[in-house]
Amino acid sequence: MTNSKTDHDRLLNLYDALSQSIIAASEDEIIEEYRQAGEEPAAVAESVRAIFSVQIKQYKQKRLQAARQALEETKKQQSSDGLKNKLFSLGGIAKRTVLGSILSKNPDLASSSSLTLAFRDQSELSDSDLDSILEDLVELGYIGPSDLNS
Amino acid sequence: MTGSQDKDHYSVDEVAQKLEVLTEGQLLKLTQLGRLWATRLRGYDPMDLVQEACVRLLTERKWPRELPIEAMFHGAMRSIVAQWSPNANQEAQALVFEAECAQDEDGDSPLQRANAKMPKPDEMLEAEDEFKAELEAIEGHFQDDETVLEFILWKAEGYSPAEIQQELSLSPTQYDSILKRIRRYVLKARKA
Repeated sequence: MTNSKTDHDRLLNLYDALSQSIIAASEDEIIEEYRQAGEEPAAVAESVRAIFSVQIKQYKQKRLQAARQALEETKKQQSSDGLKNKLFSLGGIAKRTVLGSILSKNPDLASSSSLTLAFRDQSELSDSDLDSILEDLVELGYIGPSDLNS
Repeated sequence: MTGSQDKDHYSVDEVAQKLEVLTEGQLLKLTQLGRLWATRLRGYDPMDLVQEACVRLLTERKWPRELPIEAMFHGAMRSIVAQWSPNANQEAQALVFEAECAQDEDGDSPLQRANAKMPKPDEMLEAEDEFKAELEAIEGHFQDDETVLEFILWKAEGYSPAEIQQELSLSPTQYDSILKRIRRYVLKARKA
């Protein structure tokens, strides 16, 4: 037998064996051991159950929070998709009216290079350019449902 | 999030369900494991260890379906102790902390933060003394029983049940009986 192990290693080996002994023991045997040690098994078990209940509750709350967040994201996406569909179904003149209205309400957009052309002369925009710009503006939140009602 | 696509492991929802229906005997076994392993930690209550193992099962640790919950908790507690123990292997501990800290975005590097959490040499020596004292206390309790003392010696050196049974001429029943005696003594001594 070698003696190269530290006391830490030796204790670890012993505790591993004791752990296996706990795992292999029958539940009745363990309950009886608590009684013999003067402890109330049900009370000890309940204290652990209470700890687990708190952790499980926290886990479920986090999961619910994540589900709510995902639902909000989906709703937002669906709303955005609906708005784009409505926008794309408009005729060319109506689309340019919406764009003109948004650009006049948001002069800061003029600094965006992709919109410089739109500011300069909307009539030079192709239909696909126009759709692309409107789509970007919906995603950036510049166009909302109320902009299509006016 | 629930990992339901992994057929070999329980999903987190399933873990939560299993934790909710543990029997009294199972909860007591987990408490015993907590008491046993918490002896290697200073400043932590056994219930801290049980709670942390529960948290890890509900978050990061994968639970293979074929493994009983007691074995799963044993593995989780052993891993926690390896990270929290004052004399945990510094290099391994540094790697663990590096991984844990990798996503942080504050000033110091992960390794600097890990090093800051590393035990000091005197703390490690102190811990080693405590482990020695713990072993001596167990051996001292069985000082009049040569077979148990031999058993502890061989077990602590990492020999398998079969090797110890052969060396000490023990039947499997005698082997289990000695292990139970040691277990009962250690847990009685650790009673909260």
